[in-house]
Amino acid sequence: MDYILETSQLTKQYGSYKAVNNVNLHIKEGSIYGFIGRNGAGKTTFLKMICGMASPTSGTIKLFGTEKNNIGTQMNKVGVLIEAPGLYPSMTAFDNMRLKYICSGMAKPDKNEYINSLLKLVGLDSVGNKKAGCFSLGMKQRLGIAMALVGDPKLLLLDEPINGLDPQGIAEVRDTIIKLNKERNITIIISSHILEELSKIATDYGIIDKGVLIKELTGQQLADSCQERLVISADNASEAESVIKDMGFQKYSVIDGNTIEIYERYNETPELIFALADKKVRINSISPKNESIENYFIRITGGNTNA
Amino acid sequence: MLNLIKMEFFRALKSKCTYVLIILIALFSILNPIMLKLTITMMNNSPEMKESYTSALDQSEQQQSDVNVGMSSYGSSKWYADNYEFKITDMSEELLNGGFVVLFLVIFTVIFVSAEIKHGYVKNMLGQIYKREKLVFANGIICMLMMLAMTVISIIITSLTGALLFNNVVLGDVGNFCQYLLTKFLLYIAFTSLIILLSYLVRSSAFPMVIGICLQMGIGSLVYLLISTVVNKVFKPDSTFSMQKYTITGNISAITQDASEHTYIRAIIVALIYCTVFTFLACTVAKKRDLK
Repeated sequence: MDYILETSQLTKQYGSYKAVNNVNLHIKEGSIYGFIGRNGAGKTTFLKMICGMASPTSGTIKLFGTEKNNIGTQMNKVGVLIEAPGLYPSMTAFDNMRLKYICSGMAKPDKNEYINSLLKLVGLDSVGNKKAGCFSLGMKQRLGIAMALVGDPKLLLLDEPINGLDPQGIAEVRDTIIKLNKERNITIIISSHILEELSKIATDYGIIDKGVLIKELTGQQLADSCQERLVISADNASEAESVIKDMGFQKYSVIDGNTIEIYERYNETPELIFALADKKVRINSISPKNESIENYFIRITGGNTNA
Repeated sequence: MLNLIKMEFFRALKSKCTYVLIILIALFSILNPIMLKLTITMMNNSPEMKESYTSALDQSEQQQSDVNVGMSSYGSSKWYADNYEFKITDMSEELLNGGFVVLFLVIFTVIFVSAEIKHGYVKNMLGQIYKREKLVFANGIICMLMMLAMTVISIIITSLTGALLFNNVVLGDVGNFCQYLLTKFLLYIAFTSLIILLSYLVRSSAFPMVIGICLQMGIGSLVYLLISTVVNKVFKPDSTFSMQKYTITGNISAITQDASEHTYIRAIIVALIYCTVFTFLACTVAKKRDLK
């Protein structure tokens, strides 16, 4: 498969502390990649290495199929919003954008229209002539996204873009991200620890903890892992499986020799218990389970602190 | 690189600091000849005062040492002589030697360079400046342009004001003045590269601003004098080693239109060496250090 971004054994070490430890990450073109991790897990450091703000201690980064060290002008295709947006507070939003436009070396026939279209995309077209220093946190964040879009990037790195935003601001940023992905086919990496919010937009996930990438999974895999299910613990899972099959269940999976999970027809649990008893299948427990994405994250990272 | 320079130029044009400093240098350029005219008029009305003032200036000129602290213009008695021929080149030299251009250049450089680092705007340009040392050069070029603008404006305004205020005004030796001006420029560029290096190194505006102003005001010459004294006493008791001769600020004050060829050559070499070293160091810091 062709990946727009690929890292191999990427490591960043500060003294003896490894902020990012041998991360092998893969991002498909056109995806919205949710980079999940608690505070201090290494998300920002990882993104900083991708965009060139920090240099890796070891490992390689492949961007657009090319090793980052040799990427040269192709870095133009990467838009970045790491931590707080970098803005000159005494300059207007429009002028801040124009600076980036000039730096990008773009030569659009109507640069003002281009800049205004980006401001419109993030809902700031009416305040383009206001100084960035007067903006609210949410407006600054959206301006940061607009800045990252100057130069028509193919890959967008957004680090905690919804941090500190009110619900309205979060919804606006979320809509903007979806629009960018769908309408402009921009691949987006979003790091966040607000998991429920991330689950509304991401198509793929990477879970990082203590600098180590624990798991990469698709949105479907995560949904499957978190969806409501009936967990049956039996002495012999294969015997139980034949009963389940006979009853016509289709969405189920045998987890191990003693555990089966069923993902449908939860209202038929009593009938299932009777059928298992009829066939003399010894059941140890049968219980419904519904895991939130937070719980899933906590379970997989082996901790109970905030994600 | 060109795009980066264009961007920095646009930022300089949008910065209030640029205009404030240019207005200030223009005001100083007007005020200096006016002050001279007022002093001359006052002295012409009181011959006793003129005599005591000019003899005091002569005395201080004779006692001039390596240590020059502070800023001053028209500190020579020649300006107060009867029927003195006012040369535009001399008046411009007085203004430049007064140190106002360097002072404002330090302020501009610190504000301009630090703003980029302080506000984190550099993060937006990561795609464009994958070689971060380019940013150092772009900053340096804009500071050079600002230096040129301030110098040209101050020379033009001083010339015009002088021509309006004094009767006996001539152009002066333009060739000699150009040589003086170019050498000064080189030294200013070296000084600017030091300020850029400090700004990159400490990522704050206070420290490079204080150091820059202190050096420009001549505080550094006290340190140089101390080092020179120690060197002379410890290593070569009979020699007259002066560290001031090998520093940027020392050469900035040593360069005048009347300076010897030897002084000019030394100043050019000092400027080139410091400029190369400071630029190299600033580029290394920009390249190697992770951005916050």
